[in-house]
Amino acid sequence: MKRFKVRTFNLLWVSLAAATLLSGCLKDKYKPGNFIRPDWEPGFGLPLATVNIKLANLLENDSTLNIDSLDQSVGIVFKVDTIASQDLSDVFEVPAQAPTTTSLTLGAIEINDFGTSESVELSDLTGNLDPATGAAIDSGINSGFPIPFPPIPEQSGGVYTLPAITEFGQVLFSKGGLRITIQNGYQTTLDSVVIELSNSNPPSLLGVARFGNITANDSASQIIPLAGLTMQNTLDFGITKISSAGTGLVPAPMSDTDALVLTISGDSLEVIGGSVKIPSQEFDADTTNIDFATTDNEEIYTIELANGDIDFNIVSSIATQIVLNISMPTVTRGGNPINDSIVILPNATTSETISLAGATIDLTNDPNQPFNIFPVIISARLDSSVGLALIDSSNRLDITTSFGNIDFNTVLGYFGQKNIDIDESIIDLNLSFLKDIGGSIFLANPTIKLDVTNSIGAPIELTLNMEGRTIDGQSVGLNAPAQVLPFPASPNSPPATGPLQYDRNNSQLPALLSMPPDTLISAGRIVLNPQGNQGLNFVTNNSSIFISLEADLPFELSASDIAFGDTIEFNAAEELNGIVEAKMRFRNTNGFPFDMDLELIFLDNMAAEVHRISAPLVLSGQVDATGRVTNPTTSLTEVLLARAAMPEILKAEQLVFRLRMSTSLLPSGDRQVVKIYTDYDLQMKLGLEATVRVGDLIGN
Amino acid sequence: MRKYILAVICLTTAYSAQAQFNLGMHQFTGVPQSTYTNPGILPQARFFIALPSVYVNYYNPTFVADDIIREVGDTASMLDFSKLYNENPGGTFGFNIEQQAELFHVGFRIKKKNFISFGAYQSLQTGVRLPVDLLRFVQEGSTSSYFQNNPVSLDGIDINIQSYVAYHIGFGRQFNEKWSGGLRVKFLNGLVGAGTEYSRGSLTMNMDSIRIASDFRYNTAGVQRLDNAFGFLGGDGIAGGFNVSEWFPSTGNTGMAFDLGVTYKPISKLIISASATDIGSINWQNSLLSFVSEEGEYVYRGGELGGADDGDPFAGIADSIQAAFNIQQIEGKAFTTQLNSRYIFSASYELLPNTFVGGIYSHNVFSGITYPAFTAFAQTKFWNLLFLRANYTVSSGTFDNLGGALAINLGPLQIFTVADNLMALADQGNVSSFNVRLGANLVFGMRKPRGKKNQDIDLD
Repeated sequence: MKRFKVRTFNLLWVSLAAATLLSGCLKDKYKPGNFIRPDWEPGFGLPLATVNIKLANLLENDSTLNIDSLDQSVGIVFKVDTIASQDLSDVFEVPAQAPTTTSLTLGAIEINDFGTSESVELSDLTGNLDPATGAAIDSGINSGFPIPFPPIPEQSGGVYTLPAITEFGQVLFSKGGLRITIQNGYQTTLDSVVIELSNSNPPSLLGVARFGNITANDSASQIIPLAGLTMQNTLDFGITKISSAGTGLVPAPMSDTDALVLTISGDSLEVIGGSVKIPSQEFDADTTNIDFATTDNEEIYTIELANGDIDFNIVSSIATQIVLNISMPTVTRGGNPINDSIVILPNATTSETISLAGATIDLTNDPNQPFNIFPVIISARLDSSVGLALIDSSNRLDITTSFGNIDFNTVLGYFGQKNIDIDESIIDLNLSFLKDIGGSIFLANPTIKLDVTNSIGAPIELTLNMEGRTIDGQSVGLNAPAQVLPFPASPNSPPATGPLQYDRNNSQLPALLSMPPDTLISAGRIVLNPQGNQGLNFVTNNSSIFISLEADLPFELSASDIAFGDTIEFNAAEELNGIVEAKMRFRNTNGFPFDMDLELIFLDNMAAEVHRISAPLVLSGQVDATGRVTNPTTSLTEVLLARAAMPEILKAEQLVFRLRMSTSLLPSGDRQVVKIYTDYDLQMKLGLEATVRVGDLIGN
Repeated sequence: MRKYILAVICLTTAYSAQAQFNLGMHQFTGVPQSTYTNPGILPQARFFIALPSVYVNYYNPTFVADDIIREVGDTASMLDFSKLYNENPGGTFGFNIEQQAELFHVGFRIKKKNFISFGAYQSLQTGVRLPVDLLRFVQEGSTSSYFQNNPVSLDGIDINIQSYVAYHIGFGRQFNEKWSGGLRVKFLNGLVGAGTEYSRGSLTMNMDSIRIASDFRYNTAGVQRLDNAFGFLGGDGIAGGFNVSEWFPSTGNTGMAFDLGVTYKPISKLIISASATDIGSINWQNSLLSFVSEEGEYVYRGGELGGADDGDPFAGIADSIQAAFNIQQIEGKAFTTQLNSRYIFSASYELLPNTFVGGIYSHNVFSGITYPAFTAFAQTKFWNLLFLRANYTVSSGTFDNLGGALAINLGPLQIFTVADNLMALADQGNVSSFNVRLGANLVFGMRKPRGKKNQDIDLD
């Protein structure tokens, strides 16, 4: 039997069977190919992070950040060194002064005294008498002894020429006369003598002098008026009538040298033309009022000049040298009036510049107009002419007065009431991010301070018209009152400084800034001397107005639903692969005065919302009446990606996350106004608890 | 990654292969390798040359496949560790794997009563013990209700590995008709050794914190060889050249072991034997490397954010852990590992000519832990051509270990296979141990079958 079994037991088959047994034939249950992924869903809790946000750490060192050194409150302060620089020229300037021209006409001038005489000896006369009378007188001359002087019947006595006059050639008199004196050397009384005085060439009658009853050795004078007459320096006179009763019976010596002497001399003559020897003479002073021009009817009382000139340009048509004396009694330097003399050459143009550097011009001496006027007194002196000079009374000096290089130190006066508009400027505030965060922020206590440095000595009123506008047409005006800029009390005072402040007490600044505006339209008006002439205005050469801006925006605010967030690509199927449920826990201790809500919005590939999670994340710290957090608030928040929601969530391809912040809602319906301090902090412990499907995490 | 996995497998397969019973070979004298369980039992062959053979043993006293595999529907299966960790909360699980490869083995009989053998084999013994909390952690996560009251235990992590080459020489003698005995001396060349000196730790993980406590020391020797092979310490790995020849020169980690055996035949059909094998140790004193942590605790509460100079909030975690535990890779101290000693007592009775029945008691002492096993067997042979044997073993509470042995002589060529638990093939889900030896020998001068003149103690 054993033998049979062994023999029938094929050794090869035994070997194969053993091998098969040893290698094993796995049951289906244990075949690797039948294993499916485990359905385990372990959950794991993980501490993600401990976030300790201290505001003090978040605040970067920024020039605009302001931390109050006393209470550590936080705000933003930004300064603009110069937002307005008002030039002096906007208030006052010295315009280019128009030249002032004054003409000094020569007029009538005096001439040197002159005279001439001619003797008509008896022998010369007898030749011009009728022969009988002539013979009678000759016989008496020839008798050698006194005989009665024969009567001379009325008749002409001949024409005689006077010696030439050297003081002029020919002149036209405007005034005065020529005195004619006759000295009777005849030894008889001349009952009448008529003299006709004439220019010699061409002969023209100047006048007739009538004498009567001139006793022997006596004289008589007559004046011939010459006003309006032209007289030459060579004159003839004719004895058109001469008569004498004779001595009758009384013998009278008679000699042929006995003469009738005719003498002429000027009497108060003034010449208005002709060729004369001009004597030295003074003209009356002439006062010219210089009207100091202003641009806008400013009334200038005093100008203290740093530099400047007064220029005289003199055109002379007078044929002799003239010396002008210029006196400016109200223009002083060191208390002394400024005077000057100018020599005007004959028929020449002369320029003269008088420096006014350091001078003070008083423009108040005209009682009728006690501003803008100062006198310039000009007097002239004619120097005597060397020879004959042609003159005409219309000859003149044209004096043109002008100012150059006026540079003042100080101007005092009243500069008038002026309105200066500040051009509108539009400032794009670029606050789009405020719109992005949505909600509303009310800045409760912002302040804009304009720091003014003013060295213009005049009341200046600033009206700041500011308006915030939004794209959708809403607007809020600043509605700030006009404010007067500080100004110095006197020219020697330092520039006045001081702030113009706009805040919640005098404007709608909080509402304007809290819109928030897209653009800020800024305009305004400056009014000089808004109350009229209330006192002395003054400027100096470096007067100016500088306005710097300081905006103080303390973080004293209320907020409602301001949101920070972003939209990110979020392939949920990939990012949340294997996660069947997740819970994020926030254990918070909040020292900030804000409630914070978390919102997660899952969007599919069509940007359609597939799931939304909203949860209050952080509760505001407890705030006292001043808006300061006194006690932090502890809260526990869990954000759940629920198992039931995961199918929808896994469709998401984008994730919008938002953090909404609000200050507490008061019973009145308003939001609590809070203040931000550097010691605020938020401690947030983030933990994640995720349930994962292990099978999903195992690769194929 | 595969390199690391391979390295872990190597590390987790062995030192304590504590339950390699291999009792199917005991007294199976038709196969020369039977002397490995008792050098006092002389093989039947007068001369043999062992061809390369391999022995693999798997032993898992903590769970079977059905404990961790759940059927889903009719055709699908799924891993499920819940039974394992629910039935032994806070305990450990693990397994042992032993591998042995015979490199050469020669034996011959001298003057009929003496038998001398010598040879060499390579042995790899691994053992792994891990906390079952790790399985619960993986399957249920840190939010498990169990972990609300208990941390994840990391205590008792025990990973041992021992690999060596044994050069042995044995001598057996038939003293008389009743007694025989034998001695085998083994010179051991340790290749890789690693052991957990101590390991304690815990993990607590929730939304508030991750808390890790740990205190361990792992001693190793010769791991650079593994590194050279697999590169897990930064070596070149296989790409750097895996040369088996490097494994055989002396590593300086030497040891010695003995196998002793004796048989007594009080009556003609009864044979009683006793043996002690692998009595010895390896002194690991070269290429030592220890991984040591200080007893420490690391608590992670999440990244710190919100500072003014926040960088990467997680950048310092590795440094923090390092600081907490001060994990160091230091030059290790010498250590000694014992081989897995076994004490075997057996008795057999020749029920029929060439057919024996018997029983074996195996007392296995591994790291101070005793693993007893009892085997009943029956074996026979058909001429000197076919050797058959059936075993039934009870060990570690398992009663379904039905094994067998088979040897076929094809002339001088002998092919053999021995398995302790053939039931594993039928009830794969309840296998806690399984070993198999496959090999071939060249055997010469097999002794005549029973009935012929035979004075030796002979079990064939």
